[in-house]
Amino acid sequence: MAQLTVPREKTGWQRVLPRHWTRYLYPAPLMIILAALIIFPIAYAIRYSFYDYYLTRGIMRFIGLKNYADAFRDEVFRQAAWVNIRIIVVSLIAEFTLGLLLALACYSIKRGRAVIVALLTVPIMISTSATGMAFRMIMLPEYGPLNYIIGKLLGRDWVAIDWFGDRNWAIWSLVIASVWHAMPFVMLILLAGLVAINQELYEAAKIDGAGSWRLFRDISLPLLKGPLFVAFLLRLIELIKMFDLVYLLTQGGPARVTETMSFYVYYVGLRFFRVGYGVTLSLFLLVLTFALAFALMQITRRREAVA
Amino acid sequence: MSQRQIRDDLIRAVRDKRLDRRRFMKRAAAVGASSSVLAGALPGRLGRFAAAQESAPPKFNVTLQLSTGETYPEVFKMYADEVKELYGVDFEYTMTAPQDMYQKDMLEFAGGSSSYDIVLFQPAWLPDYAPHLVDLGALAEEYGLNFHMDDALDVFRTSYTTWEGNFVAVPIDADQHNFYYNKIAFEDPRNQEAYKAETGNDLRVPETWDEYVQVAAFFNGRDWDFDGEPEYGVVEAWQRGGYAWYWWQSKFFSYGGIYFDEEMNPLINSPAGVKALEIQMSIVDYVPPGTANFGSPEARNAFMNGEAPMVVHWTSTAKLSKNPESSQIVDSVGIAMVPGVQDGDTIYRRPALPTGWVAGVPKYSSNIEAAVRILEYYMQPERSLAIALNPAAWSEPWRRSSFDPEAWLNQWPDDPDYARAVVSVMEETLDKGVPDLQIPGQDEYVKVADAEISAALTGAKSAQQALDDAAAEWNNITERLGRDLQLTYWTQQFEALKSRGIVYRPELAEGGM
Repeated sequence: MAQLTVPREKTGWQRVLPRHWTRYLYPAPLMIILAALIIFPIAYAIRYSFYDYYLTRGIMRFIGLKNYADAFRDEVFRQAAWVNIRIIVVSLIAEFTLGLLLALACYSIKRGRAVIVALLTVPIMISTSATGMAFRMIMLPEYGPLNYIIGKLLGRDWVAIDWFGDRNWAIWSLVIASVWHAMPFVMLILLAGLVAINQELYEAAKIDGAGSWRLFRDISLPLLKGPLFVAFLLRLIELIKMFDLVYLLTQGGPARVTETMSFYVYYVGLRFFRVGYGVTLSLFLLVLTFALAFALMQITRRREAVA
Repeated sequence: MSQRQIRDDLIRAVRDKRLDRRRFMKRAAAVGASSSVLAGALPGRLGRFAAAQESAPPKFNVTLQLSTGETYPEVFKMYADEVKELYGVDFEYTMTAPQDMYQKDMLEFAGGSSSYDIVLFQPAWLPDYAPHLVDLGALAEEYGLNFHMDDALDVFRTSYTTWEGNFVAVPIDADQHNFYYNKIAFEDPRNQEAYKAETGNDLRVPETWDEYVQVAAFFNGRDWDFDGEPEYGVVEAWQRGGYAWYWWQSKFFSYGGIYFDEEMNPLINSPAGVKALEIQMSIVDYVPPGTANFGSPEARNAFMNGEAPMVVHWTSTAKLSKNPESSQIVDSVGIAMVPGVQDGDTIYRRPALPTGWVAGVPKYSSNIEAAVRILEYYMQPERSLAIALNPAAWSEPWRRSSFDPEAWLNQWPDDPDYARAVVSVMEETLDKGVPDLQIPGQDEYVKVADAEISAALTGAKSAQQALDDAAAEWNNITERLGRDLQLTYWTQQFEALKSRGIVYRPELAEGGM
């Protein structure tokens, strides 16, 4: 027999609080911390983006959307975006090609893999500043070993590549240092992905007569999509924000040929103290990064749904 | 031993840090000649200083935070022991990279605070720093101090240290650009004959910028020091962050340029600016690889290692290139005025004075009196001289009394001609030199122009295009900061330059290359 339940009458605090108030209470501390650490600074930044604010001169005028209009028209920012795009495309291709090859090579090693992997990941353990200093030495035009090695490979004593001063080469100095520093990270993620693949899948495919290429194409690669996506997303975000190597190696020079968006934002906001405009540019960067990450996730989800 | 000898020995001992200031005073007294030594050896003000020393200074028992940059802690270390004993003051040094000092200080000042009791900064930043510094003049009067600024050369009494009528900073380093050359390159008969045969002219230290280019072209790729290796023609520093601008400035001023006209229209893209940049572009093939990313040390080292026969550089190079630990050309270095432009029968020279360093006391310091007294202690003429003579201090003279030829002869007793040349070049350069632009937002004006000059040097733009773009951006900066206010500040500097005979002279650039 069904029992009829009669709601109990609310008493005291229960009248004021929402019905399932604990749902809001438990995550509240986290939400407060999030608001303090993330939402408040962004909201503060959005506010300043509507002002012409020179920190050192005490100038603070409301100018509405002018900073945004200026950012769209800013040729230097566009040029910096183009620098980022070139670095991103070349670096990602290099990092993922080399990272995948090295991950496959390490995966195929049965004895001593841990030692080799540990050695290959040394660049990640080195700070970016140390990497920058090391590459400044390695790429010295006259005394750097890189020009010497390239020279020897070309059958000459030395080649006179001005890695930091020549406008055609300077961007390559950033790409090389960045790939060297980040590629082991990609390798490590892909290697972890490879190790996680169930061996029985390979064995079954081998029984069916699959060769190495088929094993890679039809088993490894599809199952590496997840790790590849994670690594791609993280590296993309890092490369959009690229600042430290630029600061250490070229200072954005010569002229502005290696000036990335982040470096330009640093100059505008923290060298020239045009805080309002600098904040606007950094909001652009934030939106761009968020949009790219979101788009990538959507694409991946759709593909997974179709599959 | 004569009083003069006693004086020389004592000064040498102080300079070499074999004798600290207190012992110097004691020893001077012991020979019964303290006052006469001080009065005779150094300017009369020093005698008064000696008397002032007799009254016990206040003891503060604090540690002062000093923002000295990477370059200048040695200045303060020279007398740190005495300061500790006299005032009970210790020092803690923060050695930020020079290019980051402005940014760090400004961020703190904007929030109404400072981590430092004494800050070092470039005089060009004075418009931005001055509102945050104590008035040293007023406090000197209150505390009965004497900074002896009447002994300072004009430019250091005015634009380097004074803002809107207030004395807010003291000079630490009188930076200036000089011309250095390798005597082997210029004096060896084989080079002289070859140069005569190639150009029809006598080989000499370049007097004009056209000669500078011609000599660089001649030496480049030639084994001019006969060590079996070909060398480069010249070296400059063009690293992003101001260097390309610094090395362009002396050429620009020599061709009759100044920063703006009286209505604040930029003159950097005038014929003077374009000509200066064309000169700079014409040596691109004669400099060592990597010059586009050379800062000050790389350019100096290329010269001191014998890779290039000439360099325009700061006066610290005069001392360092005579030091066997840092230089391979100790016996062959020569110094001259930075080249200029033919102006009738004379050479019109306007060397740049980049950048200079001064020190001030932030209003937000909790040890203002101690900091002001310490600065005054270091500003006594004999200390200024000792600091200028100490190669480790990286500090160039700015007092008249610091150009005492005998003190500099003692610096290089084996090469008195060089010592005399150094003093003479320094004095003339400070007399004719043009200080940095000194208006609010100076850093932005300079960095924008620097990037455009760099674009021309790397072949991305023509000289005219690069400077037109820089001038357009200068106008934008002026508008953003407020044209009327900027014009007010520029007019101050414009009038100060005019009073020293520095005016726009378009006719000097009309000759063509």
